[in-house]
Amino acid sequence: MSVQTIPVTLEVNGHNHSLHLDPRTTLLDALREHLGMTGTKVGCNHGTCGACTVHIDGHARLACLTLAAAATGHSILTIEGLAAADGTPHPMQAAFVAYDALQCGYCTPGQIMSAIACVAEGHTRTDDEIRDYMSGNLCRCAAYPNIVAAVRHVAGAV
Amino acid sequence: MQPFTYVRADSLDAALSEASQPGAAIMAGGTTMVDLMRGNLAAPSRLVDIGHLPGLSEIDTTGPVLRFGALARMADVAEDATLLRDYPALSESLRLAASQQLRNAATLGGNILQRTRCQYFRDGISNCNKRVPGSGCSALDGENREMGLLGTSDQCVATYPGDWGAALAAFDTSVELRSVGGSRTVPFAQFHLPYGDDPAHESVVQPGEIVTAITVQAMPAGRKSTYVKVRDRQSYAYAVVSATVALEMDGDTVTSARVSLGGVASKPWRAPEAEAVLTGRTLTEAVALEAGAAAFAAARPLHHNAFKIELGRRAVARAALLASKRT
Amino acid sequence: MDGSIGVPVVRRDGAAKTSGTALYAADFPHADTAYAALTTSTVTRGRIIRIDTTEAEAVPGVQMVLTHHSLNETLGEETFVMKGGHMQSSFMPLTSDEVHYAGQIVALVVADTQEAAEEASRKVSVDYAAQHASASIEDADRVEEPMDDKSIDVGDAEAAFDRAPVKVDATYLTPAQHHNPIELYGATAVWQDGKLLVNAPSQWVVGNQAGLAAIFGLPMDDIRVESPYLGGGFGAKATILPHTVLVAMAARRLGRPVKLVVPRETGFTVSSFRPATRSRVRLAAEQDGTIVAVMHDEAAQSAVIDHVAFPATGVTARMYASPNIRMRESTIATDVNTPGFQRAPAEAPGFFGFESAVDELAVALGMDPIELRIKNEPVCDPVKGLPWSSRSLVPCFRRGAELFGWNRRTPEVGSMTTPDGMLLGWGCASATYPSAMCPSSARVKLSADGTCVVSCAAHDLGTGAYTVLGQVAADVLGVPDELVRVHLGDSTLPSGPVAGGSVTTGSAGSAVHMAALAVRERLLKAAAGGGDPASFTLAGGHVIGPDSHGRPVAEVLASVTGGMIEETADWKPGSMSGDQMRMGLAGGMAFAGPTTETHASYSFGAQFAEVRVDPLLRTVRVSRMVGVFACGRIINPRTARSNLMGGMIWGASFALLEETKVDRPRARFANTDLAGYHFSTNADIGEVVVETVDEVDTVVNAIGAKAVGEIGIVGMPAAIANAIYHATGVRVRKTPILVEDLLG
Repeated sequence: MSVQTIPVTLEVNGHNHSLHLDPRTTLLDALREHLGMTGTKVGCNHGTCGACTVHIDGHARLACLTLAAAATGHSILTIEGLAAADGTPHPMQAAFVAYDALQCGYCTPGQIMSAIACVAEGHTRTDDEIRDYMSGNLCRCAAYPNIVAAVRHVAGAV
Repeated sequence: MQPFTYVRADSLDAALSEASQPGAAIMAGGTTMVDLMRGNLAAPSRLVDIGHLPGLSEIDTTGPVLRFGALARMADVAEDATLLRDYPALSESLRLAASQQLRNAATLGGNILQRTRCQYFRDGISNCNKRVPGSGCSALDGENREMGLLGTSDQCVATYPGDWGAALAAFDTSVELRSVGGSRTVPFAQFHLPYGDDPAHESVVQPGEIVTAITVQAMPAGRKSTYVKVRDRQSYAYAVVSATVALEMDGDTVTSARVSLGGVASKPWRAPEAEAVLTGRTLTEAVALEAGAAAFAAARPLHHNAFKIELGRRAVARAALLASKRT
Repeated sequence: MDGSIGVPVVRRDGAAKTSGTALYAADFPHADTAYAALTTSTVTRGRIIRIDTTEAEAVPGVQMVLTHHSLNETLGEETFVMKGGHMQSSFMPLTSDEVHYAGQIVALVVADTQEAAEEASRKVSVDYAAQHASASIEDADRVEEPMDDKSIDVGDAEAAFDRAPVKVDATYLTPAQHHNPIELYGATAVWQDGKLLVNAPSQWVVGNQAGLAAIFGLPMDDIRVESPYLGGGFGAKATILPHTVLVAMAARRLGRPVKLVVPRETGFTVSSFRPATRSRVRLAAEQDGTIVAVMHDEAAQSAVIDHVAFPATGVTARMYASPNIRMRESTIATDVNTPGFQRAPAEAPGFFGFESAVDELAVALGMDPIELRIKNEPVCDPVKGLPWSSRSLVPCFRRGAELFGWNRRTPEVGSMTTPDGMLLGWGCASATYPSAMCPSSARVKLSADGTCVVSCAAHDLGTGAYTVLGQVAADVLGVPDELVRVHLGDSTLPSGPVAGGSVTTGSAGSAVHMAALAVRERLLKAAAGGGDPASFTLAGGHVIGPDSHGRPVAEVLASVTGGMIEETADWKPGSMSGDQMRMGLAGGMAFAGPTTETHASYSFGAQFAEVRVDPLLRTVRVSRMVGVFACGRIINPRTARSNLMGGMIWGASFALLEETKVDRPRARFANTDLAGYHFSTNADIGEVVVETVDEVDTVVNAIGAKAVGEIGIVGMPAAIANAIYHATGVRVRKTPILVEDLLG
């Protein structure tokens, strides 16, 4: 017997993808295992680490707790969709490199997705506000002070 | 996860009809439901996605009755300026919950139905009367620091984990439910069920019913209210103890008080004993601590969680003192 | 030399990591991949009496269920890493019906999709005959087994302690902890033409290669372990985890790539963890603060299935001058998965107790804790009398005190508060970490197009190795950093050391240095033609001859056969034998140091913490940390700072958050997810100041680099505990220090 699937259309980084998925497939697994977009990481599958953070309709959300089927009709942005068409990194990507806001790099795509939302939503009035907003993204290497510095830099530049 | 049929409802009537099917379960933001399914703690054969329904995410925080559509997102409501000014406790309970990503997804209706974080429930293998009725409770002699001490029973000592629900308990809150059979409104105090002999059932919600709104009677004490959350780390953690206090005051004298607790009880926990201590008294730290002690008079501590009586006493006192300073 | 060393070069892998293009183990695409999921034991000790896979096999898409019945294959000889092998444990699941710990793998399911594999893994039905088990060192039936070979005796410490006027005698507890790298454990195995490719996150690709070769009875060249990036390791990903072997077996049987990503909760038992410890520390001093006796008795959790220990007392013994030292080690066997290396395995737990006791001694003496430490600074290794290759603990304390503002500290408990009424506590502690080294090979290639390629099967766990190792080569060859390419984390590259014991920079860096020097020598020889190469130098991308005439390096290379020069070097620590080196390069564990016949080599540091304690709720926030370290030559101050900072934040987590709780009646870990197992979030961390002092160590290795990766955590737990005492007067002798410990 083969696995039962349903048609699912996902709009990722401005492109539509038509897939046939087991209804149990999460957005995270759809991105990674079906679309080959492995920039979004799996860290817990329980909503407890933030590594799988993507934007859904502009809001930071967890791809591990979002069923792919439920994401149909929404606009999804992942780490792969941040750079400009000519490959120029998004200012937040550049700031993470410039402030050494990463070590192993595994939580980094999720951190960057949250950081962009943090600046866009204006939660950058104080360092504590940035820290609080960014606390849904665990970094086991503990680059936290540098992450705050990168976010502060980008917030100051806009 | 067990296999299921995914159904996306595009109208409330369609959702109610789908929800009435055998084996159906409702999913809105997904933050609780997907996690429960992944842990085999929920195994619906039909998953009804109501996350896209129009009209259920409106909120009104200005009228004589505050009205929160069940699909309003925690993050959006936390940012509501009127709520922040007139009912800071409610606003804070949302802001201090979970993480930004989860608050962006989780709905107010789903949040009050959040299930316990008890590790013996979650692990899928321990004895747990909530998961497998009659199997016993491993928490009683296990690691029970995170367990409750109010409203618990010999069958179950798990806590209701939510912040929003804990704060709502201090107010005159009701929950509106709909099903194909009609609608009903349940006072929040009766919405969650205390753990007697049947800890598997946590709320009055019946199969086929959907939470459509949460309402709160406006009250002046809302302005002098606060939600104090004590947690082991600064963010992204469940409450070890939380205390909500809302006060009406005449000068330094408390004329009316509302107190509720989170993280320590089987359900969002109103503490009338503490309210009685505060009412009519001049608010000092000593009185606030006395109220805190009263809130835990009926506590049934376990091996690892007796400290919550003292911590909870102080949390109530801190909340009362902070609330009294609000204008 | 153009001086790339010591420059804060931007992380070379930053662009790949921030764009999502860096490939971690689970990111490698392999066509037709099948997915695996694990079924794990629900009892702690006993036997499997029945295992039924019928229901699991009926799940649509399931291809295979491996159990101890269906595995039915004899594996090659291979064993536990501490017994000279490469495995995380000497026990291999699915090779018998035995159950030795909760969460042990009892079946591996493979299906066409992840969802089907996961569903089926829950449908494997197992009956056990369970036996009594114990997973806590505090359980009454557990016994301490002394490790006599770890004892240290200098002078007569008992007698000196009895005679001394001021003393401290206290016992400190640290719990089991788990690494919890954000990247989940897992492995993908691909067989092609009888050869095996494994993509698994690895801190030791050559060791994994050697172990898998032994298990599958294949030559090492037929095994490739590829792990260019890993999402945190912290010691957990050095050895071969049993599931890697099972995935490889399943892939071979199925004739398809098989991929396993281990769920977070299962990760607590299919890998290793930091064992619980109990330290009794006795210190005695004269009234003037001269320490006269140091005694440290450590008992650490071990496993029934594997005896394993990370003795701290051999390190704490090195801290202070004392004529009398007595150190004892013992282990307590429990029914758990085998404990393993976790960032500063010995030092982090051991120093919590030891450096807390030093603070308690300072309080008992009425003496400033920094002054006490400086007064007892040893001129040589207190155990063996060896000279230090370098030791700058005192300069670290002086600079740290300055950065922290220590002179504004009032010593009385509770005497400092913040304007908003919080109790302020300031504490400090010493840190050290041994500078051991491993043999390493490295290849350096300089091409006419100006690029320099460095290749070594070493690893960058986020430590900065991609950047640092490139700088070592760039420094020798005068190549601009942007033209340097570095390849790591692949067993097909020249052998590199395990990323453990903070050895990578000193060991792989020395090999790169050696290879680069060989390239340089050939380059100069080529430039000299028949002349004397010694009269030629390399500067600014030019080879300069005796006539001061410079020729571009590219031009010289163009005249060489192939247009490039490539050299591979095998480096070994000076005190290591050739046999040891060959064993190490072939994937064995070969460490030299930290003490040799001539010297003792350790990194040192001074760590400071400021805590704010809510006077009513008694919650603690670490508002400020300062760490000043002496780690020899710092190749890249930028990545070194991040590494040290990360270690300090680990220390803050250790002090206040981290504990794998043991459900004692059922003898298993209780809080096995990231909602229950806490480590710091961004909001937990305030200001962190990190500096290193200038230190020249000409003994430790050719590039003068000592250990950086682990020392950051070592002193922090005690510094925070000492700060909490200063704020509250409560001396908490266990971690994590929780709100209930301070309620009074």
